[in-house]
Amino acid sequence: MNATAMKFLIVDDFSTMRRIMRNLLKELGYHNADEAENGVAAMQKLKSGRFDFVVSDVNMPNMNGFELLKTIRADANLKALPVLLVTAEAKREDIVSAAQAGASGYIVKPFTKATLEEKLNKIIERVKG
Amino acid sequence: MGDNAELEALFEQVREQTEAAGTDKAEDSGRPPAASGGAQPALFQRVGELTRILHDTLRELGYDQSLEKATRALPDARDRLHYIGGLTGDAANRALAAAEAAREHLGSVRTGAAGLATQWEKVYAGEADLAEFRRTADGTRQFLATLSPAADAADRELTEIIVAQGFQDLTGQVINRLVNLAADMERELVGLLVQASPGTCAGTGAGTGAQAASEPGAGLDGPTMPGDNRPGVCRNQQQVDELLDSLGF
Repeated sequence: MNATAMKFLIVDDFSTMRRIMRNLLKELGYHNADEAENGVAAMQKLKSGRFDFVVSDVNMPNMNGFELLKTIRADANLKALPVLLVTAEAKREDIVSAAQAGASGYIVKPFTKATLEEKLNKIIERVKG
Repeated sequence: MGDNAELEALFEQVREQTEAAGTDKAEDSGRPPAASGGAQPALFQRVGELTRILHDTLRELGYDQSLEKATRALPDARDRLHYIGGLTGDAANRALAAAEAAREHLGSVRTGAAGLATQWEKVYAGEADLAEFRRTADGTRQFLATLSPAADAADRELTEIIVAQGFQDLTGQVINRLVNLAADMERELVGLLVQASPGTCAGTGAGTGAQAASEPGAGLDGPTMPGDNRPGVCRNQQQVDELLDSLGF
């Protein structure tokens, strides 16, 4: 699939961060993106439509990013979906448990456009390969 | 309970000093103290007794520990407020610098366009000879070639402004933790007030220290602040990547 046609789901409880991420993705050539404000809303969208990539915050009410990741990996239809966690949580144990739970990538806020681009490319290459 | 022993010793020391000072003062005067001066030893005695009652009550109710915990949380809150100040300042400076740079790019486009517009006015007014027409056409061609890079440069600055707004997410998380901390401290202090006030509904209403023991911002840690040297905390993306690489992820 053409990478730029990929459909992203941006999950973050802060609308500002969702807008920033949407703008950055657009800047990187990914124009197709939808948004959800927490893990519960994200799961509803993931189950009702086709998405190719999830970019999620971790610290969110209702269902946080770790729980969302585990829910996605436990779902037969969604388990292969790339999930990039973008979070302020930088504790070693959080990062390790995210990786063990199947996170495709982990970015610590605040981040740059270059970091996002590098991680996205790496994950997309891995998925293609 | 080492702290309690120290507090008790300090209390006794201050009380004894206060009593001694009151006695010395009365003896030094060589005459019966005036009405207001005579009230001081009794006042100090009373304050001492009240302090003892307050101290014992706090300890019995478990508030000494919860208040101590709240006091420990204050330096953390102060650091977090400093962090917010730093983040908002950095974001403002980044956004302003990017806006100024974008303005320069747009300024050179504006100047170039205005110069060419004047030249083309002369051409259309029939005031330009062939050589001048050629110069105008060449200049226009060159100018057009600069437009796309200028737009790209301005776009980069706009992206910088957009990314700089990420401070709102991080400061929002820190502010939420501080609000929780303030709520916890308020609950402790109101509970203390209710318990310590004579003739009020002691033991009802606000929770006890044990009930209000939830740590401020319990759960996830929130943004890592500069200078955060706690063990097990990655301070930047490079450290996160190295950690994941070392684990084979």
